[in-house]
Amino acid sequence: MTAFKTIKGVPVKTISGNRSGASFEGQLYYDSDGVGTFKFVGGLGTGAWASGGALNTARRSGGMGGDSHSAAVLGGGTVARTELYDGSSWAEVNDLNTARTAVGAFGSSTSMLITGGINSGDDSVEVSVEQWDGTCWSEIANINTGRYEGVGGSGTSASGMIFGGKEPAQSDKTEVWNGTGWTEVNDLNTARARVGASTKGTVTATLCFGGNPNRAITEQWDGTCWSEVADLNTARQEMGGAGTQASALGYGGNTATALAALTEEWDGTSWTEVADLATARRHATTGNGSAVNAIQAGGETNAVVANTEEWTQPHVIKTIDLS
Amino acid sequence: MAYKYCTATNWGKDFFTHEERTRFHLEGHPGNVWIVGDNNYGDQWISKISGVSKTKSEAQAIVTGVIETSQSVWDNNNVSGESSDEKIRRLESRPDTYNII
Repeated sequence: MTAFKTIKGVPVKTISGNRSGASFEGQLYYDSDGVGTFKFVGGLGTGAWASGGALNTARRSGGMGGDSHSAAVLGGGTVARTELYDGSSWAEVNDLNTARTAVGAFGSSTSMLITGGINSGDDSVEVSVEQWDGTCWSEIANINTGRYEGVGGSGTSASGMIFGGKEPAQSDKTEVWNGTGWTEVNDLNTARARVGASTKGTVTATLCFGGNPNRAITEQWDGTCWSEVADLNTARQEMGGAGTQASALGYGGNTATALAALTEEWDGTSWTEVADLATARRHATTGNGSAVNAIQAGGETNAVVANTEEWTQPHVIKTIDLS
Repeated sequence: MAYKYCTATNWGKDFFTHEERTRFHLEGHPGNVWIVGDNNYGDQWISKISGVSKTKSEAQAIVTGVIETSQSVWDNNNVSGESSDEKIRRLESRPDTYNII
């Protein structure tokens, strides 16, 4: 260790086990496990879906904030129930004020917004919005246009946006949240419900993709307008989404003929097919994970399901031979 | 590609891991049916989850049976005066049977 430091002239951290994550990329470290080895954290490796803990309440078309390490899921079907994920299991916490399904949602497990949807009590289209503070839900300013069914959402509870859905006609409307109120801005080019979104996007850069009826269209938001960019490889609706405008994932859903397990990765320019979900499904809830730590829970196969899948794309760890 | 077929209940976390998913093909279907790539890693996974081996036709029969049960539930779930569009909006479309690989 001392000799290596002398040769290179830089300190090398000692860490136990493998390290991954953007903050470690390109770094050399000494792994003190076992016999001890020098390791280098390279670029991203192969992404794949792994199983996560099952929801306590199976549901479809709920809302979710967070990622594969920490997430909150709410609503869906006829339930007001909220569950929190700690990276391995779900626990029930405080309910929504209004049970609803087919909502729009964005934010994290500790701070998120749920918008609109279908009121599970009287089947009306909701305009109300609830904010989660990590413990409780409270009602805040309504959206301008009530909508439901696959509303796209991106951003944080301080600054986010929703787009598309049904009013009940398919909607092209976009609304931006500034932490206090909603403002209608420029419309999508193609009105549609059941869209996917880069849920970690921002109010100046996000993606809307797929949608009803089985579309491949991708639109990109630049803070002012939507413009069409490269299509999905497989047209579909009711899919999940994660990531940002520069690096996103789209997965699952329903094609014209079948449920889809397909996952596609967006690199800022085009979509590439990557590893499939283990279980094809539609109407799953998806959080605001990045393209390396996405999550989806519940959804529908032949019936409403409770299982969770977590997407991880770890960094390649190379062992350095100093002999 | 050759496959093996088994049934097992997904227990949640670590039922299948990221590493396992990069080593063999895996598909989950209704009825807790799993289609597993036929290699050593797939065999190790079937052993890990205590999968009960099935032939392809047995696996297909389980999947079809579960979906047909769901179809019956869907067919019998009616609201007086509801149109077919309204029923689809309430329940989503009727589950379809399909052929596994």
